[in-house]
Amino acid sequence: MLIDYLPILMLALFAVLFAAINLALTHILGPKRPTRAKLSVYESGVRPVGDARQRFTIRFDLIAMLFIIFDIEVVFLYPWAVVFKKFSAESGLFILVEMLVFIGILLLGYIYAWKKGGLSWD
Amino acid sequence: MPIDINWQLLMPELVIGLTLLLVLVFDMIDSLSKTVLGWLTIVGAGIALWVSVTMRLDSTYGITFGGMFAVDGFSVFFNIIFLVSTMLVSLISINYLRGDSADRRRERRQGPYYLLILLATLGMMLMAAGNELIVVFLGLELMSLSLYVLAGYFREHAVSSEAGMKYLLLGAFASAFFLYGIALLYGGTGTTSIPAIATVVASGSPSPLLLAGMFLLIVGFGFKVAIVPFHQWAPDVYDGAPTTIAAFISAGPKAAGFAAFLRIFTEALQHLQPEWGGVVILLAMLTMTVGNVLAIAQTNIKRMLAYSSVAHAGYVLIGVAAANREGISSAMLYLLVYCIMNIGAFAAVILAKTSAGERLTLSDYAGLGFRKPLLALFLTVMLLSLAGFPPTAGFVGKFYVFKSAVQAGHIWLVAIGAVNTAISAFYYLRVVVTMYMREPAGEVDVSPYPRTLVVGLVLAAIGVLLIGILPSLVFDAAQNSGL
Repeated sequence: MLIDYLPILMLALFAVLFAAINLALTHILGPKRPTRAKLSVYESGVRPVGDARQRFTIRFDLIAMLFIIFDIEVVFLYPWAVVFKKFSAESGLFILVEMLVFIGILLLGYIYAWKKGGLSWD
Repeated sequence: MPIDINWQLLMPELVIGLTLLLVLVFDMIDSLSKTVLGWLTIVGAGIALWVSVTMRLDSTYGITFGGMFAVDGFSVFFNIIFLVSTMLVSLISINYLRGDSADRRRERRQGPYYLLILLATLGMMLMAAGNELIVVFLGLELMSLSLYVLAGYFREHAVSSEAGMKYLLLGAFASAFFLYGIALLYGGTGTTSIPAIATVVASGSPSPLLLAGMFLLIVGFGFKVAIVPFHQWAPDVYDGAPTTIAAFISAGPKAAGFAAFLRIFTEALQHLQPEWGGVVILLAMLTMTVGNVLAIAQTNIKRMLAYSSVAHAGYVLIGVAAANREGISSAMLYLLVYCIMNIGAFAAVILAKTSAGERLTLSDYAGLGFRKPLLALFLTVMLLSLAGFPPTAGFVGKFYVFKSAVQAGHIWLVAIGAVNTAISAFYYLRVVVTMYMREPAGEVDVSPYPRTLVVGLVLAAIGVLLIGILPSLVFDAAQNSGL
């Protein structure tokens, strides 16, 4: 039974070894001539200004959360639209109303977030 | 494609969903007192409870949503447990949240509190009725996410925030285990439907994938219902969370976790019982013993109740380990009894508070029997029930759980359970002794009883005594509701 999983184990081992050996070889064999440009975070990119670990206001967090929620809900509309035709002959009205109810509940949540000051910056 | 939805079967869930939207709308009306939201929650849960009871009486059962949602005696019985817990917790929350603090911000934040309680309830109901691992997971997450926020509800208190954060981190970790288990079960059987998994499992010898998935599910559930060795979060979360929420977390969600556990393990993985039976017996022994022994060492009453609730999960596991019809129905009965008495005990703890704040250390209870005789009496009833003395419901619950295990031949398990009951009597009775036989320390504070809290406590006490004296009332219902 367990023998069936042997190829997976071998593949995993091979992947680890391949990566490790390549890294080790480049480390040993490759010549190192560092320059300032080569050592920058993005070679031939924009020059970094300051540290990335800054504190920023918690409000971004709230906005990001609201964005994610509504964004995901919109994504849900796509599969619904794709299968709509399959259902439309027999129960088109039903799934249309269903989606309207769904959007209605979302709208209620949106108004709630608005009313509770979730969208205002101050 | 035709749509197959039997709305009648979804009535309790729909009622809770509608209540949720109403609370949401009413919370937006600023002129409305937030207490109304609490009453609305209670009424909504009450209607859902009434619907569930009628479904139980008329046997309105069936499977809907393309086989994803199973309404049977089992899920309806659990719905009744959840709704009773939700009603009791909302009842004790109304006064607790308003409190005597003039904190306007907390007053305004009551809306989300009831919303989250209702959402968690909806999640629990999904877990009990989920006939699909994905639906169970959805319900589990809906419940857990609401509880994380509720645990950290008093965000101005550092301990509450810490409780919420701890619960979130460990809970998310547990959810990952659970999900991985589902993935492996799917890998082993090619389906996530519980009845379909049962047929696949019955047809051949178990693959290692299936077994690995099963053990991951045990770990995931173990976290959610606080089974030793996955119980570490419980004392900290119960201690830091608002006391009403500690009561809530210890009641409904634990029952919901066991509901899904029972459905998955005794239905989908029924034929793997030789594999998981031993593990469950071991976990039951560990959970009872560790929970009770550690409870002895606690001086904070909330932490003591937390360890006691860990121990009670162990008693329920005895019923699960029996894994027969009797075992399942006795575990269900035990969960109902446990929810009522535990919420009652927490309500009594809230009531014991003075103007100086909550009384949480054991020595605070010295002399309470003389200062607040009625409260002490009710707390005594709850503690006796938790310890399992007749004629309380706790005795009935333990009796049937032990009986089912004896019938299944797990004599040793029952022996350890009985020893543990004796250990637990020590720390429950210690509180009673402190209340009645120690001189009160500090000032005598006779603050008036908040009304809804008293109603909640009295209802819990009536429930505990009624089930204790007439156990057949609910035992017959549980017996006919097993899987």
